[in-house]
Amino acid sequence: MIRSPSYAPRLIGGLAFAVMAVFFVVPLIFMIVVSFYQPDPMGFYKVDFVWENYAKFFSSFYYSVSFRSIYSSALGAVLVVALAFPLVLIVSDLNRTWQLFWIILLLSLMCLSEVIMGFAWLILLSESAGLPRLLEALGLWDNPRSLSPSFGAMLIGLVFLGFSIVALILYPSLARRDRSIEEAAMTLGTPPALVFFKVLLPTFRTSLISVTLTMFVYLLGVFVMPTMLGRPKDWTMTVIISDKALGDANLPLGAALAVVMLIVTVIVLLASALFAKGRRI
Amino acid sequence: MTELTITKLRKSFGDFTALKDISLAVEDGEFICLLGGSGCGKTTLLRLIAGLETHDQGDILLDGADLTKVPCHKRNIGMVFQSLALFPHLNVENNIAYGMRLAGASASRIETDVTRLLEMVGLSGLEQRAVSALSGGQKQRVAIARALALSPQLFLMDEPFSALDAGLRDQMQEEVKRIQRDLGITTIFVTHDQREAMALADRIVVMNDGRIEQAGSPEDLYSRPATRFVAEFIGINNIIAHEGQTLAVRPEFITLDKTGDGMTGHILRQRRLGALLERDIKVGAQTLHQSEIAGTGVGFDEGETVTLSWDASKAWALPA
Repeated sequence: MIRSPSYAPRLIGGLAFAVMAVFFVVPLIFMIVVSFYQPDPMGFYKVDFVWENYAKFFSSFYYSVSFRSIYSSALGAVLVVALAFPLVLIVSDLNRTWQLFWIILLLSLMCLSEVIMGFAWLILLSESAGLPRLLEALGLWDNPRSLSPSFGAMLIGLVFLGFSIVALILYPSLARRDRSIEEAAMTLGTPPALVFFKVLLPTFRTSLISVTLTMFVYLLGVFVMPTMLGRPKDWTMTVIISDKALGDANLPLGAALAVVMLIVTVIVLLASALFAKGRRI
Repeated sequence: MTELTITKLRKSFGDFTALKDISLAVEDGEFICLLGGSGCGKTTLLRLIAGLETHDQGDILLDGADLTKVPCHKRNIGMVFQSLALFPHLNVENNIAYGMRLAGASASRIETDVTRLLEMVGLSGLEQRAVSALSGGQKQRVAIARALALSPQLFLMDEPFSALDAGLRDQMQEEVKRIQRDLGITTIFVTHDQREAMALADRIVVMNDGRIEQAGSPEDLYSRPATRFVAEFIGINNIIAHEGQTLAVRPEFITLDKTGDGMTGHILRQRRLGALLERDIKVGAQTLHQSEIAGTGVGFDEGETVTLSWDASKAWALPA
């Protein structure tokens, strides 16, 4: 018997595709088009075809901003994964009740908006309350100052923002992992302290790389943490772009910078993917 | 020489007592099967010997030395896990060489050993193959080779063949038996399959509810089961209350006649399995089993009333 084809999956898929096209591809194309327009201080832009917006990127200022963006996002991503992986590993070996407790905690962390987290850290790192005062009370710091804004404070913000996401991505595969692989390593002479490095890290290498890349892209687009916790010289490209596009009403320059960042991101991702593939046994 | 002596070993998980004072002596070069249903404690006992769990009370002595004080990674024990637990990020060669590399063996030594081990399990030439590209049977062989790579004192296997189909399982059983005999290595094999235990073991240890029901050779267990549980588990499915005694009678020792004295019943069903003819006979509320080489006995129809008899010397009286 020939089954009549079901149209439901195609319909739903087509709908999703249409939504993506309208709300993602169309603005992207619009952005690329605008990046070639002439800026107009009175309005937003003048229709034209010029390269001068792109030419501006190749000044030392934007150069260093984009390098800084990549550097801080990459560092943030690596830190997040380096902290979240061992923690989730510990959580996945707890009993059901405590696992549930941690999952709920991580989920509620995700519910907080970036702004609230930023403010929380602003207070925690401020001179009048929080960490500096605590360190003073403990006699570890004679002359406490506010710890923000600074590069470190921004990094703390980024790590805090990404932590629950990475933890929740890693949790299912870590909880379901075959623990006898670790036991096998021990029967073959691996001291328990080395099992993490000899077995767990290599086994999860692929998922760790992919989650680090995901985090890298996510942190590149973060806007609130750098502005709240970072100094102007720590600001990432995202902040500069919105500054140009909205603050200076120079939409074509903002668009051009965004296109360059998009290309750079894609290159970084492709390079990492190729690197990871080349090293697979 | 490897002699393993376990004395009054006790282990609980919370309220559940997995092992209740287990005592067992394993001789050098012996192939022991721990046999029992799920939750009987057989895997816990194996894991205690491997050092993957810590015991509550009792002793485990290996050649007279207290093994419980030695952490797992220093016990020199080769173990094959139920899930096999091959390292997914390493190829066949590196899986087998893992322990040797860790112990700091030289590259040339590792190469000759890996070649020898792969030859032993019949996988020569697959050194560079990824583990994920192996078939079920090949994975088993790699797991066995890896467990034996460090020339362990004890070889432990935890239901390694439970995921294989019947044909492959028979083949792997033969191979394990051959390897064990060639190396003369003391082996403890956990299984819930009595046929597997019969095929492999020098001595079967039947476990139930955290205790050893009986330890003996396959023939011992089959002809002289110590308890009703052993008799049933080992596949003697006729437990007959007869003249104040509880008798265990093997299906092949029962003869059927159309008339005569003794127990009567009627044939529920009969089926022929190759050369063997098997019958289920309803006697009172009980269903008994009888088997014979097809064509050697009297023929019956299903539903027919029969008289059962057996040679008294072949019936084993179970302790009350």
